[in-house]
Amino acid sequence: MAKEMTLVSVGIDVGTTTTQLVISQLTLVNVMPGSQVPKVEITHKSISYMGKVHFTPFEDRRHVDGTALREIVAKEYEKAGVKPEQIDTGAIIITGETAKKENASEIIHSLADYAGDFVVATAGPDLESMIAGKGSGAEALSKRLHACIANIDIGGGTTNIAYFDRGKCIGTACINVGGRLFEVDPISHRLTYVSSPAQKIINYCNPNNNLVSNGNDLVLIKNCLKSMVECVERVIFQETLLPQDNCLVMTNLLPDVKIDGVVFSGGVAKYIYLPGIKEWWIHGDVGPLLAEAFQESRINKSLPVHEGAETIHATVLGAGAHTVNVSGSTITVSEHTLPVRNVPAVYPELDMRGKFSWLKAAGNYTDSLYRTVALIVPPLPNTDFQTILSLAETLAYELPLIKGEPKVIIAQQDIAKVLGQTLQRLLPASPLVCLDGIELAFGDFLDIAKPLPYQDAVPVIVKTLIFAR
Amino acid sequence: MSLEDSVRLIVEELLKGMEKGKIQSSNNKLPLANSSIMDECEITDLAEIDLQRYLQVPNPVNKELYEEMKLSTPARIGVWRSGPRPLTDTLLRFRADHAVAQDSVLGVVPEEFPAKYNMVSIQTLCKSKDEYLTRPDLGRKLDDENLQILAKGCLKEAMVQIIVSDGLSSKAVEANIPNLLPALTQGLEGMGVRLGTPIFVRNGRVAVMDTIGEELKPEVAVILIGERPGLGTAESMSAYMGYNPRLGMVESERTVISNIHKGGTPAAEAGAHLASLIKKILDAKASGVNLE
Repeated sequence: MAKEMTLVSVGIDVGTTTTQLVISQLTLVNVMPGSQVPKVEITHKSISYMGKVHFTPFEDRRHVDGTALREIVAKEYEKAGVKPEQIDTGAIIITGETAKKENASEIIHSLADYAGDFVVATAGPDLESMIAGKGSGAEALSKRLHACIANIDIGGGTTNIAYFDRGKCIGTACINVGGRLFEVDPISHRLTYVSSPAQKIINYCNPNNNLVSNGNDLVLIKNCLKSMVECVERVIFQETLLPQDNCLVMTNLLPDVKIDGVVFSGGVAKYIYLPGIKEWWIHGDVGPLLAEAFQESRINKSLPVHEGAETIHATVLGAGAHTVNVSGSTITVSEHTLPVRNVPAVYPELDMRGKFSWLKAAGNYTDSLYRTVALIVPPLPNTDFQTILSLAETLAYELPLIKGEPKVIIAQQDIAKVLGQTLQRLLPASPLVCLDGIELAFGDFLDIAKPLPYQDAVPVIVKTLIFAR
Repeated sequence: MSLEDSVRLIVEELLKGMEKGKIQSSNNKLPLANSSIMDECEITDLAEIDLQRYLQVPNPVNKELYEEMKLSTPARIGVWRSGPRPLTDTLLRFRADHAVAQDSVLGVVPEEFPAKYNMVSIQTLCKSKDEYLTRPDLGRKLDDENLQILAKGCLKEAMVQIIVSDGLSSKAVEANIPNLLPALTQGLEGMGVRLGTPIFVRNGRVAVMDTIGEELKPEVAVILIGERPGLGTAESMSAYMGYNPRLGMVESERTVISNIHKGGTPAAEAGAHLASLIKKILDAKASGVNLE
């Protein structure tokens, strides 16, 4: 029996401006002393390959170039010396403005299939915010300082905010403020492209269009960026939003709490931590100017600013190293049932006799999109055998009425093994996956990988957010 | 002054104060100190306070962090003080928990308990708790009379022989067996394992499984035995498993799972885990370090 094993995990971030890939090694170890029931946890994460930062390829303004994207990934794999079949897990995340492109979803799913057996495609501004905060080190920092830290990830298209209170993500927001919403010509320093959210801000800052006609692009850009950063300020300081903010704020689920500090990440963050660049046009966009606006902001001036472990690589590191959970090792998994993908988490209702019932909630997921559903067992008043037996009897009655196989059950207490064995006795013919030790919430989706050879642990990726609903 | 004397003194003073109805304690939520009338019915059991949620430091600077630290360990941290001494309730609770641990060692599993779980009940050579504590060697042996009970009442050459013993904690048996045994039995039977007649051993040590192994010749024996209690819990149980249990087997041949109790691995889940572990031992025909 090996004492530890490693998983190879890939993270691919397809952002508004750049695309990057990292490969990391996750070390899994039994953290319990030898004489106790084993518990497998991810104890160490290390980067084994950090890919080059590429520009995200586009066919035109509305389409991502899928072929070019796949080539980038193939080349990076080659340089890293790995083959797709050697990748155990990971995530591809499509972020910022790129996620709005017409063919985004299709491209990202086909890329996930190519990238490895168990690489998931994810999108969604909330998840992106959280992943960036984990990758930047803000999560770890909040845990270490026992404080509430805001991670502000400023990319090409969006600014993603996530609050971490003592290691736990308590809220996110996504605002259409980014360094590449305006593009400029590096020679003439004139505007060459204005994205739709930026245009709305131009209309607000410069209603008469007189600045553009004067050729005074820099003043116009600076005014717009100031106005955009003020919007971020209002979100963070929980102030009333102004009419012009509405076109920028995409999601805002930040709780009204006092934050103890901020960490900046994303491509623009580099220029916040290292200010004073003269050639602001160097990237053909306004990233350095946006950094300047953030430097002048109340966020930078009134809150303690911490330096994270990563800036531009935060999201890709988060996607590669921080998306996987492990459930093990007191679990029950029938042979040849895994992996399963996109399994919705289904919460029970309490019926009149105080018993759980999943039938109604599971009825919402009957279309062919879902192979099966995961029934969540909320914490029970006690974990006595009788309690578990009566729970298992309820499940044994309801499971055959719920479509899909294998039957997936996720317990929120340490009972997956005994519950699983009881169900195997009651429903001997049903393939079963019974897990515990995974934090979930209403509306979450799960991907469950093949069991690891060591200690029967199972990697699980939870795909939406706990507090988002 | 010995510890006992000082406790007595403190309690007397406390009671005196209560009668006068003058004890005031603003930050102390302990009901003992708050009740002005001496009414025994209103005194809450000290042992019922959840120590990990009981904040004794008055006006903590960072209450959330304090709570977090308390919840992170069952150790008695952040208990505040009175001068250089612990607070009365801290000391009393310490003594109460110590008493629970002692009771658990010296306590007896009820007479009717084995029959309730269809166990054949036997006793080692130790005739009393005192002898049990002072003579570990006798706790591993059985006399002819008890061997006869085994020979008559138990299936021989089963695949798995389950043994339950009080060991150093009778409370562990009473608290865990009702949930552990059905889970273990269900798990093993589900895997097609033929079980022997379960046995209850009074005043038993782990190695009594060797003596039983010689008599009944099971493939694997598992003994569920009360652990030496501590101040954290008196209800912790261990399971020792041996392939081909026999006299002279060495300790390294035993596989062990410890810390089975409410705050550790819950009994029912532990039973299910033991079932798969025993199946592994049966398949590998080895236990202890030979299994690794």
